[in-house]
Amino acid sequence: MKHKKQIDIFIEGVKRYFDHLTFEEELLEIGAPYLVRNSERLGLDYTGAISITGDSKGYVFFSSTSPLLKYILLGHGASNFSEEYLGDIVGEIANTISGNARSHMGAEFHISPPKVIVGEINKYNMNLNSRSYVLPIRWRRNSAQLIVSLEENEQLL
Amino acid sequence: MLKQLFGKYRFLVISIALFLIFDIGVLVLNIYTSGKIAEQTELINLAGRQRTLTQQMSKATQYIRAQKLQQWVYQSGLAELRDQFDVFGATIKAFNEGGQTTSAETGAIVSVAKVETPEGRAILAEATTLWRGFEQAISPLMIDVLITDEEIEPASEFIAANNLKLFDQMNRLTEHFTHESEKQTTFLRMAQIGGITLATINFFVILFHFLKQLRGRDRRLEIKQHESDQILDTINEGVFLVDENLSIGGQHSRHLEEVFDTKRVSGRRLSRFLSAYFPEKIVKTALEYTRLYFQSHINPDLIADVNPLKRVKATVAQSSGEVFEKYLDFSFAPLRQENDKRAILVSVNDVTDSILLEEQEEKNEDQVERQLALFSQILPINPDDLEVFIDECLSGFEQLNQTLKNNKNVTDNYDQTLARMFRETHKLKGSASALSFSWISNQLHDFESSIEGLQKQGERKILRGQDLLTLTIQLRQMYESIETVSDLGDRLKAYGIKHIAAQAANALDVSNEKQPVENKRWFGLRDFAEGIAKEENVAVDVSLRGFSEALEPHIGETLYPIAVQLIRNSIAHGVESRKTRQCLRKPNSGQISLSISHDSLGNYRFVYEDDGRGFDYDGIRASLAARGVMSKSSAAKLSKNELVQNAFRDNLSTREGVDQNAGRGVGLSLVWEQVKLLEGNLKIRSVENEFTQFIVDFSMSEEPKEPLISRHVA
Amino acid sequence: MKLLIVDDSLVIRNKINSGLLKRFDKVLRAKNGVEAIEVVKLVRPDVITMDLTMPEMDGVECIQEVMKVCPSTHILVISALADKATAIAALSCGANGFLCKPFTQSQLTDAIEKVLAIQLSR
Repeated sequence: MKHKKQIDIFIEGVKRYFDHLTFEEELLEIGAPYLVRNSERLGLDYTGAISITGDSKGYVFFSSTSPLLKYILLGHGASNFSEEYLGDIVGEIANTISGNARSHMGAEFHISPPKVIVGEINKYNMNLNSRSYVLPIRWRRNSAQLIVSLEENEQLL
Repeated sequence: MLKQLFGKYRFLVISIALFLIFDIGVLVLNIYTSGKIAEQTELINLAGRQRTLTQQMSKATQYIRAQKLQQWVYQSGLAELRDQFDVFGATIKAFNEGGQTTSAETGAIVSVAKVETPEGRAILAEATTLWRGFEQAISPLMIDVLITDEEIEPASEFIAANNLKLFDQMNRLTEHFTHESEKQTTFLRMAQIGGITLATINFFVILFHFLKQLRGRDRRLEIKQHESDQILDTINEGVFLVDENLSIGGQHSRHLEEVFDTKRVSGRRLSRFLSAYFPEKIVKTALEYTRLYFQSHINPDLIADVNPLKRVKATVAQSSGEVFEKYLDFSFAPLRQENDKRAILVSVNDVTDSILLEEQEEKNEDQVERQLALFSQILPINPDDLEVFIDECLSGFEQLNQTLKNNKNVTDNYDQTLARMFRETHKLKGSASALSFSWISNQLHDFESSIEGLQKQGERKILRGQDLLTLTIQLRQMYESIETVSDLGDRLKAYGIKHIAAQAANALDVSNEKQPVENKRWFGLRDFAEGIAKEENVAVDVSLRGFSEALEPHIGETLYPIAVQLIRNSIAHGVESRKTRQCLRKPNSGQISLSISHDSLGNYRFVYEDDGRGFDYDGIRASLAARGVMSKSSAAKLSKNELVQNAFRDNLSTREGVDQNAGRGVGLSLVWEQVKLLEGNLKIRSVENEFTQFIVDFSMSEEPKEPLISRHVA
Repeated sequence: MKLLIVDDSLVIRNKINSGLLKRFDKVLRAKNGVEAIEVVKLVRPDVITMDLTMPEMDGVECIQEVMKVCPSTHILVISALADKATAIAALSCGANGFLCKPFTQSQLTDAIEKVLAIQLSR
């Protein structure tokens, strides 16, 4: 259950970010995680991507619809909802996830700084036959996803 | 030797020869000119004496004239005059023709060279002419000791008249000689200056030449040094030298610094250096090994095998504080240096990557072994059954995943989700155990256990989506497993490996040959039932009717899980032990029969029957009460019909404890789900201690129907 | 030229013997260190092939004894690579080379020639 530990850490990162937002009590809800084939479309409007190398390797994406990001921007007092600003927010969330992961997963992993992707996730570095975990996220009735695409270095049998 | 002289050192030889020639030239010239100057000095002296002699001869004649009356007195003057006359005559002759005369200084005989200078000769010519007059005048005085007036008077007159003239000429001659001498001296000085100048120039030429050569050599050395530095900088190996005292040499490759992450290498003791990275024991052995290379009784070719520094694990603490483990390979090569001292060239390779790769390969080998184990499970499965099973699993997993996915907006109620997933899993597990495919059925069983765990959790607290993560992860693993199975199945097919059981069956059981391929797995239910029966310590006979005809795939796939589930139920709950059966006058083995039949309109009937103990109504009552579905008293009031209805609820089981065959309580609800898929009716008949019968009626015609459960108790 | 084979395994003794029979005028065998020393005292062999792990007296000890009795003998250690430290100790105290078991006949003859080529000044 190595994946569980790792995914829990990523979720913790997401929660950590949303905990810092000082809105009225609004719970971050995580729905039942499911699988999606890597060959299918991945990602919502904006995605912050971090790559992980080490014992397991792959990608962690925080992907969000733009309304959710706009809400966060509003909370920051911003009124500019340009692509740049939305990407900035999604990158910041991914950064929190990667920072949290770095402090928990330690030396056996290398965790990259986040990259922002607009639209569908480009999958040229991913194993298309494999499956990624999708953890649906709801916050103020807007949705986002934490997508975890991990491959074991040794094949599972 | 000569070649060498005029080869590499030609310039030096020529320069030194020139230097010698210049020096000797100056020296010879010096000696020659000094001689000349000495001669000239002699001449000056002689000419000076001539000058004096003219005066003396004049004086002597005057004296003789004055004393001519006293013969005894003038004798001394006469003798002087005669001497003076002779010396003057000899000297002027010597000047003219070369010859001997007496030295003015010492009185010794000296040789005088003929005066050659034109000026000298001119003066001499005049003087000689005048001297002839003197000779004539004086010669009469040379004859005897008695001087007459006739002799002395003309001589005296002549001398008095010409004496000054001759003096003057001799004076000029002296001056001429002095001048000549000065000329010689000046020449000598010039020659000396010239020689010394040449020698000096030569000296500087030599000096510059050698400076240039030295500089050139330094440059070449520098270039060499630079080249070796470059090699050491770029070589992709840690290289250093070790001398006889086991100290590290002054030069090493830069890669070495990278390998050990240190700059402190040069000049260190090998023991100190190694101790920083390796345990004491290895260092000790390594030093002893290194010493072998300096021992003359050892052939270095024959000790490479015992090199203790092969693939050794080094602990390298980086400057950042991080500690890395590296696997290193040291190799040793003896060198003989210029000064005939021995040294060892040690090269260090970082082989961490290849060792990790090997470890990975070993792991892969493990994997191969696991795959072999998996092969042994797959091989007895009919390939067609396997294919159907894989498809069933994949669509089942898809169902499970969809169930999870559909939930994404529901945060407070996962009960239904879990129940649905449980049924689906249970069905797949049934198929897996029907194929005796324990590898998959174990995973499904674990998955069920996880679902159950969550259900239990759900009784105590509200489940959150995140809690279901374990299921998703397990699901992914099962996906991968089934893909591995599918992959192996394909490979088996590709290698033309045929299904063992099918071959065996073909050989033994001729009747099986007629069975259509699709129905083979129905007949496999006999083995499945026997397997479970063995686990439950009972015996069963399974008879099948109507399955020799090809079944429509949809029907087959839907009914099969029902059959599997009912067989499980019969064996786990229905069939009694052999002893009990004997008491009840039943056959030793429990009789299970399955039949399928249809009419021409496409109306099907699937009948399942066992001769077991029938429904355990009290068990259902107890279970309903225990699960809190209803109170004990209201459960007691339920009719048998209602109890059976309740048995089809999720998670109801009368069995205590859970194993793969029963106890989950989902069996009958699964059956009901499958019947619903067929839009069929389910009829259940049961007589205590006699039999239980399930009848599924369904139609393949287009009319929609409401599914129904009815029960008849005979 | 005389060869002494010291090894507790008959199979190895036979293998070495058959590989080197032609090279030597006389081949002697010993199955442990004690026997070996007796032989060395009597015949002073030119070359000894020495196993390291043997009963009675182990190889290193045996080499030390041989060095006392007959220092002009060339010694080739033929042993499995279980313990490099022991092999190095054997070389330090006088053996001239090491051949790792298992070996081929050509490796054996090559190693013997290399050992014989060493000029011993002791």
